[in-house]
Amino acid sequence: MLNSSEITVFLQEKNITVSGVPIKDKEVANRFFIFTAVSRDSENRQIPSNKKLDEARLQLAEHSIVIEFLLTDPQSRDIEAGLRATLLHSFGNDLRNIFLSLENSKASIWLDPKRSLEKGTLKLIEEKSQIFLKELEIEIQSISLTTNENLPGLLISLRAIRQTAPVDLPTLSQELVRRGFTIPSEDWLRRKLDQMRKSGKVARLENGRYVLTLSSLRELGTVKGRSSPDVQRMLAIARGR
Amino acid sequence: MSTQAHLVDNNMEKVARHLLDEAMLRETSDEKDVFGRSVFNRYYYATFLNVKEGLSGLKKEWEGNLAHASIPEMLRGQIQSELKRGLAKAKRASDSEVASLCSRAITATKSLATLMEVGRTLRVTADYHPEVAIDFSIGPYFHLNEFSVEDAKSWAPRARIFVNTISHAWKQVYA
Repeated sequence: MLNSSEITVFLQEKNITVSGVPIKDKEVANRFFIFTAVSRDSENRQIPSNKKLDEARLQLAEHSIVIEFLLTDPQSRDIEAGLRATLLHSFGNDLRNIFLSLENSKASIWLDPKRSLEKGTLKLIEEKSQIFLKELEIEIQSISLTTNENLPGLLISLRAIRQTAPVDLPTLSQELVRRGFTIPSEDWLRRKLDQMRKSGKVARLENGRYVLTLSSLRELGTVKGRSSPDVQRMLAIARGR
Repeated sequence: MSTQAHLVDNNMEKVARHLLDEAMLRETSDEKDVFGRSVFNRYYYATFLNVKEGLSGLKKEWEGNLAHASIPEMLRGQIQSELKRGLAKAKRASDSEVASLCSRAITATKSLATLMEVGRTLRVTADYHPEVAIDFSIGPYFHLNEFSVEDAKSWAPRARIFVNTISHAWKQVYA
């Protein structure tokens, strides 16, 4: 049975760099966690490749050793630190922290704001991030903001209407609150329903109640089984009796 | 549980910070090592508590039923699949905001799974591998198996952002 140092030597001979020492698991016998630093070549391919890592894993399995590679990316850590310093320098009053997920030269940026950010500020943050990352040939995939906003979106509103239709405004509002959302006011919900009506998602009946249009019903689709919207609708009707 | 709870430091992080200060003040290398490895342990638990609380809220059967080792697998498996389904539903309903939220949540599941694996491995190193000593030679604080304690310090706030994104997307699809 190979020990921790022998595993390191075995991997290094295959040009797989081990960061620190292999860590033996306490739950699964002969399983080791190996931190491996990865980098990218000029064509953005991971070094060492997953194929190479899999081959090493299989060869070690022949010695009854189970390997879990944990890939670390020192370059990505440096980029995150650089972006954080850049943004905190300019937006220190707005942002508490900035994190980065990097995958194939595409960045997802995660912002932890100190307060609610205005659209203009967010735009400036995006521009600054773009300037910084462009130098490194990295494209921004998304910028996410932690938020306590709890307003229902279009999809969940349509699902709630489907379940309770034909539904009046106060009942729909109650249903969305029951699902854990905040409804600022009935007027807010009315405007939202108006937008849905104009885009052909819902129809308003003469009695003021709302139903889904046929195209909306088709878009939402259905499933068989316990989670079927038809079953949920039956249960909702029974609850309302 | 309110989303707000995801965004604030938990008490375990306060303990970790206190232990970090202690580790820096201690004079003997033995004491510095013990305090130092406890810091990694507490930062991992702070992260685990946030993640456990956040993910438990997604499905009733997950409440109080999440084991350390299973979290990365769950994030890459069940949770990611459900979010991909949510993404497809949102696209079909022309809900571009929720579709974008689901895409970001899928990225968050991958990043959070990696974070939890790294954190758990360092926690195991700190608790069960005293032969891997805490290294105070690289400033400003200390390292364990080449990971800075500053990395560990960022786990919980980073995890809270990922959980926040996953929870929001989940709610917009499955509430």
